Amino acid sequence: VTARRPTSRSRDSTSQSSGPATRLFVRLARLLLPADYRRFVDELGETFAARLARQRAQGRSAALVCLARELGSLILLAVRERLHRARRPSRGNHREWRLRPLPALLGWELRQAARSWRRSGSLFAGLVLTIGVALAGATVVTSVLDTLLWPLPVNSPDRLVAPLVLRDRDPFLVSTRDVLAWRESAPVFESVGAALPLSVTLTVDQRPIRIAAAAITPDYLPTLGVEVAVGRALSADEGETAPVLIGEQLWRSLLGGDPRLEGRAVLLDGRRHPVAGVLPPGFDLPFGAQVWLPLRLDPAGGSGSRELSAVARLAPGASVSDAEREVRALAHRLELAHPETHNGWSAAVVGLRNQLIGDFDGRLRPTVRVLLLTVSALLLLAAANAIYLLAARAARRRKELAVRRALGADDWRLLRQLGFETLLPVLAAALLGIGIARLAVARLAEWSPLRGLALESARTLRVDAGSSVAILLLALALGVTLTLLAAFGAGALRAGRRRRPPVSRSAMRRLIAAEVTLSVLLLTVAGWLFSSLAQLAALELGFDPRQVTIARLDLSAGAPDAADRARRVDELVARLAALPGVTAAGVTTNAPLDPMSSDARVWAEAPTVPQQREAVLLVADRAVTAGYLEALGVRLAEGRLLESRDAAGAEPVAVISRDLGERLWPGRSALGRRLRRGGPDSEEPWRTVVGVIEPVKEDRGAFRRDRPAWYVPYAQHVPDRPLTLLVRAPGANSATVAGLRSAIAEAEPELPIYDAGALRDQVLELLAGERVAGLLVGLFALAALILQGGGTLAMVWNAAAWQRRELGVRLALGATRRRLLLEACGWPLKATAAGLVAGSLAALAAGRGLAALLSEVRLLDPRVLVAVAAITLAVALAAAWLPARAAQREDPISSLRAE
Amino acid sequence: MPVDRRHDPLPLSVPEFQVLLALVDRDLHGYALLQDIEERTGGEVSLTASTLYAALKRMLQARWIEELAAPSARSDDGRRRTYRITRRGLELARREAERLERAAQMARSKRLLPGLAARGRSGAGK
Repeated sequence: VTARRPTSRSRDSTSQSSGPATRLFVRLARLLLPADYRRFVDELGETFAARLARQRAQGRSAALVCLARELGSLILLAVRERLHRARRPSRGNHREWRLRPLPALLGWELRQAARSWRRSGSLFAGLVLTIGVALAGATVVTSVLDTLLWPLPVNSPDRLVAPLVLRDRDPFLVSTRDVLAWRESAPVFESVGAALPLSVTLTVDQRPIRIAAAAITPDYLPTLGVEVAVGRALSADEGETAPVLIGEQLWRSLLGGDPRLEGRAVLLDGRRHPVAGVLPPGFDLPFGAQVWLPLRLDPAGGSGSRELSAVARLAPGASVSDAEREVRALAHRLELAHPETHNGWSAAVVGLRNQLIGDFDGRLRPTVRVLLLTVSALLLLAAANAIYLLAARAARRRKELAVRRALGADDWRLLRQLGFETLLPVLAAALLGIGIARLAVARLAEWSPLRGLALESARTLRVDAGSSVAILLLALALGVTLTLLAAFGAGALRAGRRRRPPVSRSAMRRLIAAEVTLSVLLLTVAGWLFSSLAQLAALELGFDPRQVTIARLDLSAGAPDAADRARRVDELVARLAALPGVTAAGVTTNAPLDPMSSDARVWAEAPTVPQQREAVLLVADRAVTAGYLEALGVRLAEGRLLESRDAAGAEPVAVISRDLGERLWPGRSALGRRLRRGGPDSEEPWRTVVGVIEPVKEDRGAFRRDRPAWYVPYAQHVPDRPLTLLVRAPGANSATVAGLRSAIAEAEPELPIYDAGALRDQVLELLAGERVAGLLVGLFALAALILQGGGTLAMVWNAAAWQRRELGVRLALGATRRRLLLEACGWPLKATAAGLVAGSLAALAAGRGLAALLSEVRLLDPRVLVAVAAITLAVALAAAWLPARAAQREDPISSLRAE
Repeated sequence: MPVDRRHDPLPLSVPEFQVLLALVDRDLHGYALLQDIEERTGGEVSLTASTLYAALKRMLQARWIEELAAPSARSDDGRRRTYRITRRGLELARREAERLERAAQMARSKRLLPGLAARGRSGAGK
């Protein structure tokens, strides 16, 4: 055999061997590898250094890959060696001395663990359920958070804000003048874009489809940081051709995803628009738009109507509160400069994300905090129970562990055994938890507050792979922690001298008190949320949403003539009212709780309270047909509703809400009084009030408060706006929708009907955020109560079992069973009482955080605290009394013999 | 850990076989072994330092290889061990190669591989 011939390259590399990476590698190798590797460690380090030096010569990334690979391989080897040594070599297996692959080694450990659990199946099931429920809670919450905090399809979303204008604290869309003012005089904004939400008829194969669209300023997309995926963006001056951008989905379905856009066009409202570009997938701002047209803002400030959705990018270094201050100052200046349009208007700034989920007053943050708080409490509770169960088990097995130690197992070996034994139920619990969460989230998705949102990606609530992995990692961490606590806390690894109960009485008392604290906290928070929900659900809507079907239609495209539109609407309503089962039908410009409300300024003829020229009253403005108010189910306070005699040529009339009447003519009847659209110098005709109705919650943004509204006959005022149909009919909503569709198709074959559904759903959607939070916290509280009761039960049961001998002796010496029973129940109940006090105090402290969430609700309802205390004590009493009584019933002789 | 010699350790693992193969005609130290394997297999087999030493440690225990005292000729190589194949190791490597050869034969007879003329794969060389 020839002598050594080390290559020159390797000699070069060893000379520069001790870089920080090598030192780390050698240190790790020394730390992790078993003792018999020690003599190789230096050589291992040299070889590693040589290889790294060579890879470094090939570039940084090659070196990094090499480093990662070597470190990973080292750790894997260490794990395999440790696990390998844990096994007893089985006789006659010639491969035994070789290292086995990791899965085989892990499988062996898990099989051992499974064997150890075979005799205590109920304990295993208890552990799996306990931890599984808590992990399910954690999974649901992470999924909800994931969805609430979904990634926006825009560039650096944290710097994006939505400036908006406020009237009586209600958010409104903004006017051209606002946008121009922000653009010119607000240095806090880097750029400001505006979009005008539209609804257009897209004709595909001669079939009309109604889609959401928007006219956008040239800086709208650059402000969002979104670039066209195909084609070009819209420029500042597009001339007469009016090219459009289309959404990715529309591009695929209409143009087959063809990247050549020259000569391609779409037919919108009967007009050909060439397609200039395609926006990236998932982008549908504002309000779910699928087509974007160019928009030029009138430099003179426009008509003053507030119909633009604005978005702004904060300048570097500027914060949302800076922006808020600045727009408020600007709003004040606009009030002085343009009182006719801006008097009484303020402005505010919210983050884009908050605007998108309709979270104008910052409810999201406290909701998230409450959810995180409750789910952490639940996890802690489950962990406390699990620790107790595992500690009890470990203590019971102290003898077995002592035997193992005597046979040569060291602490690490025993700890590893306990670890794998813990891992098994924890992993099973994680799978159970993910399973439960998937089911729960699927139900929850139906109530998601995000359903009404634009942005497809945000609407789907689901358990994704990411949160499943996170839960598995959480479960692993929990497993390790539980093992350490059970092993060291219960002293399972300490050589036991005297046989003692697994967990001392005082430790159990503390555990019970801690569990009761947590569950009382959860129950109280849930109670408060529920009482707030009940109050919201009892909200006086002013109309009856049951059995009402709504649908939208737009007559403006095909019928430019107002008289023609009024005639067609009349005909349509007549047909709908004649449908079988329909008790009332009507058409309005805005149904209650629409995302967008149109408002009008009104001026009264001889008000009791003087009106200010500078602060004209703003009311919800609804042009409705006869039959609409009946279909809505409003309650008449005075006079009559609108009828078919209120036609185009007849006397101009209006029905007003009671609060509008009280505002203008307090203490007197509004009937017969007159008011008109616009300010003091308006040319509009005076309208006579013929009816007063109880206030209807018209405004989605302000649905918790009443806002004045007036209803004028559609025939007398025909705005060029999309309309909403309302049909009241008992029976299934789908049947009504089908009947409605066919009736309209017969009368107006060209007219697209869209967004058909039940009015009730829209109402429920409003409360969805509160409902989801309330439901989640309620479920967590229920789980907490079960865990708390179960925990107490297990502890008292175990304590009684460990005391069997003592009890037997005392019984034999003449102690009464009654006395022993009281004693056995006494300590857990005392602990429960302590937990009750601590939990109530914690709940009162947490209540402050809740206040933001439940602003309209009487907070800290003492009845909730009393109810929670009663429930908790009842559960604790049952959990303590049942096992204690069972233990007392035993024959003292058999108890004494049991040892 | 007791070494079990009653049973045949064949087939060898990839690191074992490659290390033995590298030591067939010369003695090498750790990094040179890695390089030899990597070059000979054209990068197909690239062991990490840990995998190499795990294999070396077990093969030393099983006496398939032995370590030479630090070479006296070079003072800066003080800590570096050089490895030499033992008779048993040589025997095992040959038998493993023959086993692979037989396997290759079978593949050829089934026309999975081309005929003998196209031979020359490094793994089957003696």
